[in-house]
Amino acid sequence: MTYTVSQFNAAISSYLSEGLGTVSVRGEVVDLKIAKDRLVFFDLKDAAARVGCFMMRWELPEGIRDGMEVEIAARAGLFKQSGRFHLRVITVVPVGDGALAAALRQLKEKLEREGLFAAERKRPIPRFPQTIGIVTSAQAAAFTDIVRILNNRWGNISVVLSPAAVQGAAAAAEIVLALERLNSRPDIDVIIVTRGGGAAEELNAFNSESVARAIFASRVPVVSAVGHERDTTIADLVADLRASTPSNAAERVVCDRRETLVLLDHFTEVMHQALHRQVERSHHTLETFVRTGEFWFAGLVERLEHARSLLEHLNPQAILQRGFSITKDHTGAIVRSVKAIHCGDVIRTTVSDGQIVSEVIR
Amino acid sequence: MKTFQQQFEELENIVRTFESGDVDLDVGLKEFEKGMKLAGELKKKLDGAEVKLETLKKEYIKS
Repeated sequence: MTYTVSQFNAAISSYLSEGLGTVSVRGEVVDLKIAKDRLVFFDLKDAAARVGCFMMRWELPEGIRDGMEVEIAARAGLFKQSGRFHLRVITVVPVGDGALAAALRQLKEKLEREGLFAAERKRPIPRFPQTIGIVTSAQAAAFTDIVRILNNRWGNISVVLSPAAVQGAAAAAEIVLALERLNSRPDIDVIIVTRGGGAAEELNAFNSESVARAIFASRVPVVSAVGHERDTTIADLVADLRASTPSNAAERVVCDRRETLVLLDHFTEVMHQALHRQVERSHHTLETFVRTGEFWFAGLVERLEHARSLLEHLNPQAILQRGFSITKDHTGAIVRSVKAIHCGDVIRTTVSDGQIVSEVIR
Repeated sequence: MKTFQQQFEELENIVRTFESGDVDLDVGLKEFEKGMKLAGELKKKLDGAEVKLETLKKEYIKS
């Protein structure tokens, strides 16, 4: 059959795309150009040949520069109008230590300029979280470590695991989704993002822009336990709090139950002592009144009675038996002041073993 | 139903009032009762059970 040019270009483009599928090509980036702020063109070359590549601006990761060695995943095709062969790039990743380090450094600088690492925006971690979200892989040793420590330290909390691959090409996207899933729940108080726990893990996903932005955008405070001891990833820099290991994250997110019990006992002690002091002071004032022969009690008696019933350990019988009493008028209201009664009124006085009915003389 | 954190902070405030100096006996009694009740409830909550685990489903990402 005879094609028109348009038909031919379209047919070959499909043929290439479907026939080859996604291919992986490695080469050096040259002639990187961005057109209309949206279209990215560059060539990939090796010593003997080059091929044209095309992608959209927003798909291009930060730090890709001319001269950089990269590996792309792409589909082959022809541009419909020009018939030009090109590779439609899906992902592009720097390879080789030099290139990786340079790209990472550039990304760090960009995010820092945008304020993602700013200390002022880091939110405090709730002191007593009730529900903790965890982003890591489901089989991770880190996960079991964290749960074990939480059980040890507190116990009465809920943990929600939002699983995601932590290594490999899909990891970054999965981590972003895992964070979003936790953020969509109203009950999550804090999120721990952690690596799996293996010594030889690659942590590239935690150095990606998408994960950094997802942590920054998280409504719930994020604790990261990603970088190994001396290795700080971008995720660690963006997080609200950085823990050195998954176990350390668990320790910093919940208080220790035993320590809190000690604190509560201390509070109880403080309150007892303060009230004791106040009662002693009032006792003293009351004894002074009695000694001067005054007939009325300043209402302190009723309050002391109340205090007595609370402070059981402070000599409960002593107060009434010491001669203190409660006086009520004919309506049953407690007499606190000489102004509340008049000559001739009948009053009832409760002492330690009964009641005395009296008439006011003076 | 107040959370542990809310109750703990309430108790902290009461203790701070006591620590800050002389408290009127009437006020002191009320606050003492409130404080002791809070401390008791908080201690009970600490006797808690084991961590409750829940695992979310991973959706597959279309490439």
